Formats: sequence, C-alpha cells, structure tokens
Amino acid sequence: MTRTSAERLRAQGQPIGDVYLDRREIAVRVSELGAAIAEAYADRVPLLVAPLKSSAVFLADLSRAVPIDHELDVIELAPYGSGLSGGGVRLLKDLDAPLTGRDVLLVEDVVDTGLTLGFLTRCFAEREPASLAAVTLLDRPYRRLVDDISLDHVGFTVPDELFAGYGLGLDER
Amino acid sequence: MPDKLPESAPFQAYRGSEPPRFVNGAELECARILDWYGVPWEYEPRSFVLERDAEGRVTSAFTPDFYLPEQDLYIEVTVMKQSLVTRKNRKLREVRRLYPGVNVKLFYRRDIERLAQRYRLRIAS
Repeated sequence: MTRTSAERLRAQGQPIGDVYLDRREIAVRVSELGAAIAEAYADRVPLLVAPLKSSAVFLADLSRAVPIDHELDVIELAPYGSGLSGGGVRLLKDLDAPLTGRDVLLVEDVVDTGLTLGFLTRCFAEREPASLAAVTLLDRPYRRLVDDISLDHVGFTVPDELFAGYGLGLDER
Repeated sequence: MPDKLPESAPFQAYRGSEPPRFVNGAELECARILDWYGVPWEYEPRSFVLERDAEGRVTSAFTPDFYLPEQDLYIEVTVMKQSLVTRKNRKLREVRRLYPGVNVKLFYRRDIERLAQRYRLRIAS
C-alpha cells in the first residue's frame, strides 16, 4: 500500500496531525475564489503576483480557476537569517514588469502575522498600481501584528495551528 | 535565561530613545523580525498599573515587551509553555479590563517557533 505524505512524515517523527482540508475541499474553494476574482475584475486584466516558494501551488491552481484574462508574476524575498537581509528585506527576484496602472492581486498561501503581506503591500503601493488587493488560501488572524493590509479574498479561516502540504512546506519539504 | 545575548546590529525600525535590553532570545528574535520587515517598534515603553495598596503604592503592574505605534498594539512575548502562563494571562485579562482601549497580544513559545519555521530563523534558547 502506498503511504500518504502525512503518514510518511509522521513515520519520520514529524508532528503531523489529521488532515484538516482534503483535496476536494480545497479544489471547491479555489474554484469559488476564482469566480469571485473574475467578478471583481470584470473588463480588466489583473496581474496575479505570488511570493515564492510556498504560494506557487496555490497560484497555479488559482490561475486555472480564474476564467478571465490575467497575467502572472512572482517575487522572492531573501529569507531572514540568510545573511542576505542585513538592514531589511531584500528581493532575490523582483517582478518582471512595472506595476504602474496595473490591477495587482497579491496571492498568499497563508496570512498570519501579516508581516509579509504588509511589506509587499507597502512595497507595491509605491509603484503606483491602479489597484492593489490580496487573496489568501488560509487566514490565521489570531496572531495578526499588521492590520493595515487589504485582504479581499480568503479561502479558509483556519485554527491557530501550523499547516503543511499544498505547497506549505515543513522543514523546506 | 542567557547571561548575555548576542550583539545585534543597530535596529532600523526601533523608535525608542534608550537601547533595548532584551531578557531572552525570543524577544531579540522578535525585534529582529519586526526590524527586518520595517515595522516601527518600541521596547517596554509603558507599564500598566494593575493594583495599588492603601497608600497608593503600585503592588502589581504589567509591562508588555513591545509596542507597535503604527498598529497601536502591545506585544508580550513569553518563552513559557502555553500551559504555564496562567499568571501572565490573568494579568493580561486585568489590563484588558482596566484599560479597555489598549490592545495587547500574547505571543507564546510556539508562536515564536512558528515564526521561526516560517522565516527560517534560528531561535536562541
């Protein structure tokens, strides 16, 4: 019998609990988010921007679920503690195109403290987009430190626990 | 608790006047995270009086570790396990009762560990 990822990680000593959201639940909700985003951006061509790496899976599925023309881009921040970030956040990869006049939708896998989203919102707002909004698959608002973020679409508000899978890494896996 | 915390580069987003004197590694890491993201912060800028004796002397007070002026939010960081923070939680409830306009959040060890995992930190013990 093939072991699931959860069973495999559990066997390796990782503190994995029960499955909270299964494949079908996520697919249904992503489809609903896609429809809501299409309605919000009718007659416009939004630019979906995701920070690498953990949002990549959600970005790919969400892109397929948005039934209007849109564009994709990604950004990568230097990880804290990497020695690359003295003096503040540093971009390992910036966006490919200017944001001026664009309708930008930030795509996050999970928002908890709001620090990353807050930083990206401030950073992108300076580039004069026509609009700036955000979507997250998981929202964990209990430990929010930064509230001035425009979180317009939320997939699931989840308990104050750590989640893994669907691109959410556990020890970088 | 470590005798001496590692030296840290000057903080960019620190808004206090005196150099912060952290009492454990978790506080230091929180300060570094806030600084890394450019979120203005202060360290222990205010004590909340919770109780006075008959002569008016303060017998109980609570001093949150951090204050984020742009969010108007106080943060208390505790390295105790969640099950051992009953006294601290009681003080927090008192702050909320006596100062209803004050917003305080408690960050437990597991929250710091979660931040560490998310941001790939190495937390000092």
